[in-house]
Amino acid sequence: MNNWLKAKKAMPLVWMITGTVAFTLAWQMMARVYGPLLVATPAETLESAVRLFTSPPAVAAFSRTLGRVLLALGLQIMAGLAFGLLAGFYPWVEDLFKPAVSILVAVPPVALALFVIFVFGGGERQVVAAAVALGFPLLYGGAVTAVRSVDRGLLEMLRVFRVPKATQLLAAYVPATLYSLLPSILLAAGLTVRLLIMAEVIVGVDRGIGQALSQARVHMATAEIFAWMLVMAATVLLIEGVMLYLVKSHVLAWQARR
Amino acid sequence: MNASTGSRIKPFYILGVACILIAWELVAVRMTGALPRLRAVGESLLLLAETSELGQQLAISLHRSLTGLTIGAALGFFTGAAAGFCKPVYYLLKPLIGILLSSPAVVVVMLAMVWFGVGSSMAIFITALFTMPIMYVSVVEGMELIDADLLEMAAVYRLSRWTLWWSIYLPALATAILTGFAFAAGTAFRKTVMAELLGSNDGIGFAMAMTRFNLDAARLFAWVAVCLVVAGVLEFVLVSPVARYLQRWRTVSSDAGVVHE
Repeated sequence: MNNWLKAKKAMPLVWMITGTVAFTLAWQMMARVYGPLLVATPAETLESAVRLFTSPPAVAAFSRTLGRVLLALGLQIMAGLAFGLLAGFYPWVEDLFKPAVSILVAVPPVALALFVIFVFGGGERQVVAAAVALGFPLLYGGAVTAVRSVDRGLLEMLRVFRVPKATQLLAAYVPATLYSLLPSILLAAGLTVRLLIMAEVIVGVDRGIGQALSQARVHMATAEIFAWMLVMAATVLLIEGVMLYLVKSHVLAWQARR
Repeated sequence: MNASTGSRIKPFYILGVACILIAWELVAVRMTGALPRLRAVGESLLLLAETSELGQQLAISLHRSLTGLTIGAALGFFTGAAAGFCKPVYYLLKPLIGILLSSPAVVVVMLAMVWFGVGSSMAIFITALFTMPIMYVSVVEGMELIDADLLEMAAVYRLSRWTLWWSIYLPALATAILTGFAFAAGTAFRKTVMAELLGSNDGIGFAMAMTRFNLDAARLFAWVAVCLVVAGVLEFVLVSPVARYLQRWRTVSSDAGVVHE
């Protein structure tokens, strides 16, 4: 019984590894058929990825972009929380913000990047601003929903005991909102990496993965583009994995306390 | 977000729209050169319509996104249904879907430009590639929602395969397809525009890229307005009716439509 259970638990992993192997084999075959200029082989890609991590300019580009991503994410969280709390409290504020948020959601991100170039010129701050604006609706929406789902019983109690408004905000709303915002932050982190690289490529900002990619394309260095893609996908998966772990351990700790 | 989707016209919503327009005008007048006046954008839009450039580019972009969406949705549906019926397939596909969902689209566009050259097939490929996971996830989730008790009951009462399909699987799949299609449609258009902007000789994305070289901000915003109208039409015709329809028996995560680049 125990063994059977263990085997059942291992099944997803076995299939996932099979999937990865099959994917790599198919990739290898494609590379054989189409040649190194069109499709780099998995080995070349891995080699190129290793080379990226040992070459100072590539590491600098990576850390530069990662820094921008973290800055953008932090600003998104602050803005999303601030505006989301307001809109969650007052429905008229939500109505007021709605047109702007709808525009940010509906506009093609590349168009917003162009907009930024036209209005503010190119530059590092502009790239971060574009990523913040495009990622903002996700966290804003999450915060609004979170405020609306704060425990009614708890609020009633705070009101009955005449807890000051400021304390109510700090004791009930901020923790509850932050807590239910974690999944949105998770989504936003992955999204921001992709948005930021898009903005870097379109705006053409100095130093960063966007520039490295553009250069690799000009030099027809297919293996390098593949390597960057692999590195970026791994980074996003890593961020999501770590955050998911944090959310899960947080949820478990929280449930254990109840 | 859902609470306020009433049919009543909200005064503060209108105020919000007015604020954007007024702020735009103020910035345009105060900081000359930064933003074109709204009037100039309107004139640009009229000019685009009169010279029939609007219709031509819009038709090209819509055709590409619809073709890409059809291919991507079909692929997503078949793989999603396979993964829903057979768990190993789900895990087998998991790495591939994971990579697709976490790769920056611009990088893939760069590769696709090498593979397909500049033009229609590249844009269609990108659109299909990035709408496929949306439909896939929707179908897999839809199949997961099928009530296990209902299936057991069907087995106990020895319902025919036909009845099983007709009254349990098909409704669930139809809902999933509808949801996936609604969410994928918006993504399809945005991805097409992105692909066109980076590597195409026509279409809305290309027209936008040209405004950069001609330094014609008014025309850029005219095209952005066109994109917003397309997104708005999709929202009213497809996304909100589907969301309202789904809300009758389950809560839809409103995030699903927002996560894009």
